[in-house]
Amino acid sequence: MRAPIFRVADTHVAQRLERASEEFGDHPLLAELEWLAHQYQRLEARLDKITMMSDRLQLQVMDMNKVLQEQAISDPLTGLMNRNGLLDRLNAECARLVREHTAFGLLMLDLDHFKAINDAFGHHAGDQVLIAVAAALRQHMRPYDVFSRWGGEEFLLLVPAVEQTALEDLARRLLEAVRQVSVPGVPEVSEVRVSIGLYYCDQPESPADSVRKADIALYRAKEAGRDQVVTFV
Amino acid sequence: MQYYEQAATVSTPWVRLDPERGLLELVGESYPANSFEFYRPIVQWLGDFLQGSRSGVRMELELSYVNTGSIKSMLDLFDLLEEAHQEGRLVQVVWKYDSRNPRALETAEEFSDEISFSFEVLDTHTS
Repeated sequence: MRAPIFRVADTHVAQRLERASEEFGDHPLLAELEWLAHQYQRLEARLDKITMMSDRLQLQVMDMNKVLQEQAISDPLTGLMNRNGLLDRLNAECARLVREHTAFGLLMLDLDHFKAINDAFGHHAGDQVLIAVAAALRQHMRPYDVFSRWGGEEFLLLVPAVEQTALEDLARRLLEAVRQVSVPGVPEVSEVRVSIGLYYCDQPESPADSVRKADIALYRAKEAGRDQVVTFV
Repeated sequence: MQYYEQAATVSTPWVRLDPERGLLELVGESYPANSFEFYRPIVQWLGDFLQGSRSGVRMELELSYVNTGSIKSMLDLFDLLEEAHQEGRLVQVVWKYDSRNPRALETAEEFSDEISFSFEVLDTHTS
């Protein structure tokens, strides 16, 4: 059994017992008193124990919360942020634009003919394409860029603190990176392409409006024949 | 002594009290709104069992989460077992835990500090 933890209260109890013994000698109630004091100390030790274990439990709950929070904003397939996570960051970025007159860019990417890949080679192949594309694109991100799987075969990239020309360069690099993608384990998929809608935001507006404009640009890239970048104007 | 079994709920573990085998089992999570009410009959059962027989006793616990009140009741159970052990009876406790939850092991270590009888810790994740 664990040794009792030494504490001020223990000395206190011991001193009182000693005084009582000096005063009352071998009074029969003294033994009773000692027993009660002992029980009291046991209870105190038990309270310490329970409190400590309870604190541990609280840490366990906090650990679990962290995991849940992480899961709530991430996409399990690609490991990217999910739509919820990106929307949080986009809200913050829109607020920052108003406060600090910064600008940010949005790149909405959609894989070309993805349905055909799924139909021809199955959903597993489709998943592998998504994973490979996510990994390839990630190479081009700065630490503070926010890269999300927006849904299905759509990716949305939030690029804070950027010049429009740098954003356009980045979009072209991403386009090229996807052309180079090979899909491990699925050699049948020989050609992966993507269409990109670019929106450069340097005026206050709602997160929903900024996403809508990136989406319109993406739609135009698809209309214009895919495998290209179109800027919203 | 009655054999007793109680299904798990969201906040209480599955319970089996088997006097034939001298076995007490709790499996699941334990955070009842009123822990003392939940554990009172279990503590009572163990007390009665130890009074009424001289055979060995084994407690198997597989609890992934225990709240503070459950810890208090658990320590009460351990007290009874420790007393029985001091009187020379065979007492065993098996604590099963999932090693992916490292804090469950810490809980086991805290409990094992309190007792001097056999306390076995089993990782259910690898076994």
